[in-house]
Amino acid sequence: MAEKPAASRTPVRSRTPGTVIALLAALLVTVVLLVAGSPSPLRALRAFFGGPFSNIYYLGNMLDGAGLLLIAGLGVGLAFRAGVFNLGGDGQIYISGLVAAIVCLAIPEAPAAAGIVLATGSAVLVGALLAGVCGLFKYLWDTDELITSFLISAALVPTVSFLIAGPLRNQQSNLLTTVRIAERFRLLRILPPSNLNLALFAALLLAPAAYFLLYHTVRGYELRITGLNREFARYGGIAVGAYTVVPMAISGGLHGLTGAFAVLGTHHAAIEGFTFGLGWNAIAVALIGRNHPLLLVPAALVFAYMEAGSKAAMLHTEFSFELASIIQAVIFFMITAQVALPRLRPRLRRPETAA
Amino acid sequence: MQAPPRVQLRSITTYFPENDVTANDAVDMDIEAGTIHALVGENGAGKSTLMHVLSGFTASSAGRIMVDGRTVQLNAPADALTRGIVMVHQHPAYVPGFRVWENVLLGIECTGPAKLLDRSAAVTLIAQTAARYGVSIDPNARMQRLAASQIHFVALLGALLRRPRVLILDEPTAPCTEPEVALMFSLLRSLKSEGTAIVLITHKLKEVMEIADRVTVMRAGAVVGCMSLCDTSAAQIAALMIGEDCQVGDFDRRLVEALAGAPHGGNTNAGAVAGTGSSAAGTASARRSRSPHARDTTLELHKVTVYVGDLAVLDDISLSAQAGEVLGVTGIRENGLEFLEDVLSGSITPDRGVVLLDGKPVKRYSPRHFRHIGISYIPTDRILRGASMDSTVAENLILLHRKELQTGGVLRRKDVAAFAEELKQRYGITGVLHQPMKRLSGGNIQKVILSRELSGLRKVVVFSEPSWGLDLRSRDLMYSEMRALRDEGAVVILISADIDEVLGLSDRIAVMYRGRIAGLLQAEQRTRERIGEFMLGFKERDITALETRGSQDG
Repeated sequence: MAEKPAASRTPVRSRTPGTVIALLAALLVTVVLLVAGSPSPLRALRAFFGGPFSNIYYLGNMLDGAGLLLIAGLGVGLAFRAGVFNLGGDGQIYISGLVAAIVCLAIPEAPAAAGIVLATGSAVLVGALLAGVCGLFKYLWDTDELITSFLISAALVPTVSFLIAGPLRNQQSNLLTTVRIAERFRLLRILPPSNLNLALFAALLLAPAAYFLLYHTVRGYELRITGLNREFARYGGIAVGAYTVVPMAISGGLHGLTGAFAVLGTHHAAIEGFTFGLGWNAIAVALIGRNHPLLLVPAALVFAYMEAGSKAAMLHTEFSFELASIIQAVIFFMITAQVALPRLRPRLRRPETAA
Repeated sequence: MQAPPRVQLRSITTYFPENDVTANDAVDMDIEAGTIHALVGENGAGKSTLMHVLSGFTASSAGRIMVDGRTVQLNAPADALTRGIVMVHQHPAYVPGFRVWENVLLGIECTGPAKLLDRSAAVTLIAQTAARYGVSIDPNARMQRLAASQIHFVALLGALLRRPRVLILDEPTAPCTEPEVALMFSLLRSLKSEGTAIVLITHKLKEVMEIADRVTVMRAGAVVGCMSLCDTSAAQIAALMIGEDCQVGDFDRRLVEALAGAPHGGNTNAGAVAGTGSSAAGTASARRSRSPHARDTTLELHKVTVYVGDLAVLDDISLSAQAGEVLGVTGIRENGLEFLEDVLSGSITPDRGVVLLDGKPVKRYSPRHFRHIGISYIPTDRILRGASMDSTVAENLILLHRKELQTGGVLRRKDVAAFAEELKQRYGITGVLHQPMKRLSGGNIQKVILSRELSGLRKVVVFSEPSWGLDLRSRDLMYSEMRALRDEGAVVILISADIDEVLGLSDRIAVMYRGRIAGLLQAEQRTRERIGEFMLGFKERDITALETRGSQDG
């Protein structure tokens, strides 16, 4: 006998099919670009779709990328769930990775476990501080955490690049990179010669852990309620201030962890620009996975697959680097436009249906 | 041959597979031009759903809609609008940052050259329409500054600009004060004389008797009666709404009589409701443990002053309430009731003065601290403050008990489900626990809020406009809960612009006028007339003596 309020008629037409449509649209545009932009369309198509599975090296690298995307995506999603936005993820990953590398280089003789824990811990701490401070500013002065986190990050990226290319540069290398970290601090590789390493397992453990936190604990309940309706949370005696600062700090911490894993597991050094937009792609992954920790797993895999596909197409055919970048941009654009727009203007939704 | 009715609904059936609910079961209804047709029934009887079908918001599973005798397909609100069917919702949606004129014109923008919004034309048009129907509203005011009743009037204006042939109003008078109700009714009468067919969904039988030409009664998704107003009585309508198969208690009957427009002598009304205190005692004893030390609880406001800019919206308010009494606070909207609500719930900090609980000043003004020291609160704004519409019903129910339903920080799923189910049964909430709150009807949303706020240990309970949108049975349940709380020794504060409600339930009544306590009336001196005089500011502040006497009595 429940009477349905008007708004329920169009519940954003349930977001799952929308996301699938966006993914399919992105794929379609990709195929068109591949066919139109490559002198040998069939080879390009085969490279794009089959490339990531063509050998262990590509497969391992794709899975490694998916693992990093997943951890950073969890960071984005947790903050989203609390109603705060961490837009500085890419910079947080970048500087945390550098911090992890510096720690490893400073204590080359330390025992393996101690070094890894210390490097990872410092990276997490740096990420958590950088994002947490934006939450704190919001709590204290009501500054927009979306802007502050973005600006802090935007200022850090060139600073980190300068440190890597300048004072910390490995003079023996042709690349802009720090010295490689000691063997013993490197995370165990799973599918050599690919970059895949133990970090993937950490990522796969973190997703259910985040799910448990959000949906089975009081803190998670309070976090979600705060994210959905701050006024209601405040009215119910939830410390909404804490849920502004802490989720931002956790989000930054997870980005810090991503940076540490990228250095200790994937690159073994802090290379200039090693994130390759990882922090931004994590936002797309969080949006595809609707900020649900378990849905983020397939979301990260799909995104990493499409990314690896465009790289493979570029390496194996005359497909240009620019076109590969365009494909990635298209994928990102389609998904964020479809999923983010209704989210970024929730207030406009109700009058549209009721007016 | 007579012209066909403006709207004919035939065998309308609305089934919601997601929660296996048939909201409308083969409903027939005729709506004639130039009549006011009341649609009444309990919460969840299917009234709003039926009208959502007619206005194109909800698709029916079966049935036929005819407008002027011709069958029409209404797949979207736009289809209904083109046929002149306009609905004003129970909680009208609006854009908070917009101004009145921007909201009114949403969807029917007047455009000048180059398709730009013509602001001055819009403002003039709205001012003219408002003046024609005697509504005073500033087209340039910001929406978030308006009182709930004004938001209804804005929505109504928006509807009128569309020149409706069929106007559907879902509980339009719920947030209105008596002068506003009078204004709205005169507006409806002039629309009726222009030939508009009007459907009025309401819980107030008094209003039905006053203004409607016909009435359709719904129960459990079906029409159980459709009469012309001259052939029926309020008692008959009430009996149809509640249903013969249900036990109608002594209280129900008295309440029905009271609501059906028994003479407003005030004291008779008060007597009728107050006389049922004994029936509440039964429930009280079952939950005696609720407030063990509350016998000596007092809540006091001492010279509380709140400014908005230079204006004192609460001006030197001193009030005290003892354990075991219901203190009613009434007044016309905009006279400080909403700020009193905010102070009593810890939402705002007074600029001067203090709130004292048991003689001690409260440490902090935050809802969290107020909850911590045992002050419970049912807010006027249910959608933004009282509920999280995108969370599930169960998640809304456990808000205050989340700490008791956990072990080591982990919520015990079974206990959560059992707790939510218990509240659902106890308050007769119609809805599915794991579905989003926004699926519930307005009355059911309030039941969720009430059941949550009234369960557990409470020293003080602040009710603000608690009965908006509630049906008779839920109101009865809430009133007896309120009295049970009082009898157990809790301090109950009832903030309401509804004089009858305040008269019927309160031991003492404070009347606010322009941010001050204009009068504080003891049981033996209160009448509707005296309250009215204080509300309108005819009398002021000859009451200080009475107040001191009042606290000595306590």
